[in-house]
Amino acid sequence: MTDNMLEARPEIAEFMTQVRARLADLDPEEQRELTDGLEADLTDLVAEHGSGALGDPQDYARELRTAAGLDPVTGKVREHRPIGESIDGFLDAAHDRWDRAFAMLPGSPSEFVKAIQPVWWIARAWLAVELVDVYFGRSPHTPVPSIHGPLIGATLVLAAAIVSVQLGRQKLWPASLVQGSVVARLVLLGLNLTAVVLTPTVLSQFPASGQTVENHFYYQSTESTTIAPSTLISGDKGVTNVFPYDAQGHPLTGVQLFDQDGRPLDVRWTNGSYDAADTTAVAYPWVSGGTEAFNVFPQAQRRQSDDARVAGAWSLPDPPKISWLARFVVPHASLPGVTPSDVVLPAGTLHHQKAR
Amino acid sequence: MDTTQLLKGVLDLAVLAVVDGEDGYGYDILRRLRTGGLDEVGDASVYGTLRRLYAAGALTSYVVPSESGPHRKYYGITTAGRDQLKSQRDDWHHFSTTVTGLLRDDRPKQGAAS
Repeated sequence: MTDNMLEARPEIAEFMTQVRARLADLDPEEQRELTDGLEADLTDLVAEHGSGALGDPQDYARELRTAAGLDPVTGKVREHRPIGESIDGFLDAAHDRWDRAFAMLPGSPSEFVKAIQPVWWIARAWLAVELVDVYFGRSPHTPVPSIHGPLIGATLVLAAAIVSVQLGRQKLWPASLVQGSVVARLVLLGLNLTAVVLTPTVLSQFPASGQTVENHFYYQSTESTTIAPSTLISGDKGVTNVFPYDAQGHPLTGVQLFDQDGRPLDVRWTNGSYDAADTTAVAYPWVSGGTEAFNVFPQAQRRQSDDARVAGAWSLPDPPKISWLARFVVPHASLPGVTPSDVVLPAGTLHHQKAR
Repeated sequence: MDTTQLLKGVLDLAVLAVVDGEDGYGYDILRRLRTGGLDEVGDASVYGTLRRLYAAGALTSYVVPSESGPHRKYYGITTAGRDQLKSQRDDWHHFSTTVTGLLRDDRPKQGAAS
């Protein structure tokens, strides 16, 4: 087999599929009669004049039918076509329309698009890695993905770029099967569309110049928990509760926390996520001098179907409670020259107490 | 002048004439027609015509497998095909002579000088 034939075959097979689809209303014997040997003839045609000589399969089928003395109209063929062929036909038609519309523009834009195609191949590779970075990487987000460090991020971008370029050159699945498989075609289309659609998402992850890191965290955390901008941050998540332990590792209940300026550390939050039983965790603050104190920890929570606090919740059969971290062992801590607070807790005091 | 319409009327005859010389497969026959001067003939028209002439019994066909690619389908002329070719060739000669006569410049114009 010559290189020429190898190269031309997928296009011819696709062309044949398109032509056959437009002969599908004929009886099998007639179809066989019309298409038998056609592939060889088309292969010769393409070998001599290039794949452009194939033309439009619909026109071709019509001409073939007319010359063979059959009704040139394909009738109800489309309704009987398998779903795969229908999708294929739809994609082909869309592609055709696009190509034709493009061909009408001045200055051969299709050649320009072909020339910049590799830029898109690289861009989508970078987008893919950035997307992984948005969910698994460190914050704040950077143009070089920082998954476990910029070196790994850059390496991943390089690897993704190679895969993407090979896809673009139709050397890898699913692109290598685009001519023959509807599934491969749809997968590839889906991947490209996903890349396009997610571009704004990825770009919006970069902190704008002048924007503080705190604000950036605020935006990132909105997916499950709505947090006021003044909230505490731990890692890349808003803090929803604080569990204090003393230097000996004993849990402390009712600890009041203040910042460097004497302001209460306010951890106000609403949990926007509901579990399978359709309940959500709602925080019930401690009370200080008749007002709610959101800086006293740990905070008590109650699982309920509504995210508004229930009046008289403390007298309900299932009052708000502090859920200490199960089997959480806190090591001893020390600082030279500093004597830790001497807090001795009687055994079994891990229940909720209201502040004075 | 658009020769496509003219071509439609004589494509059967042209195809039969080409195949009468030597058996051939679709693209080969197309190439012979184009080399013979019918360079506007569409390949699907030729292949469709071959299939129709075969179905009408004017042509016979056989498949030649190829090691290098898809098999080729060859067409040869049948006795019925030769008869058809002969009668259509006569028709063509008669018809073309008539039309050529009509188109002659020195033909006396109707309603001219009397």
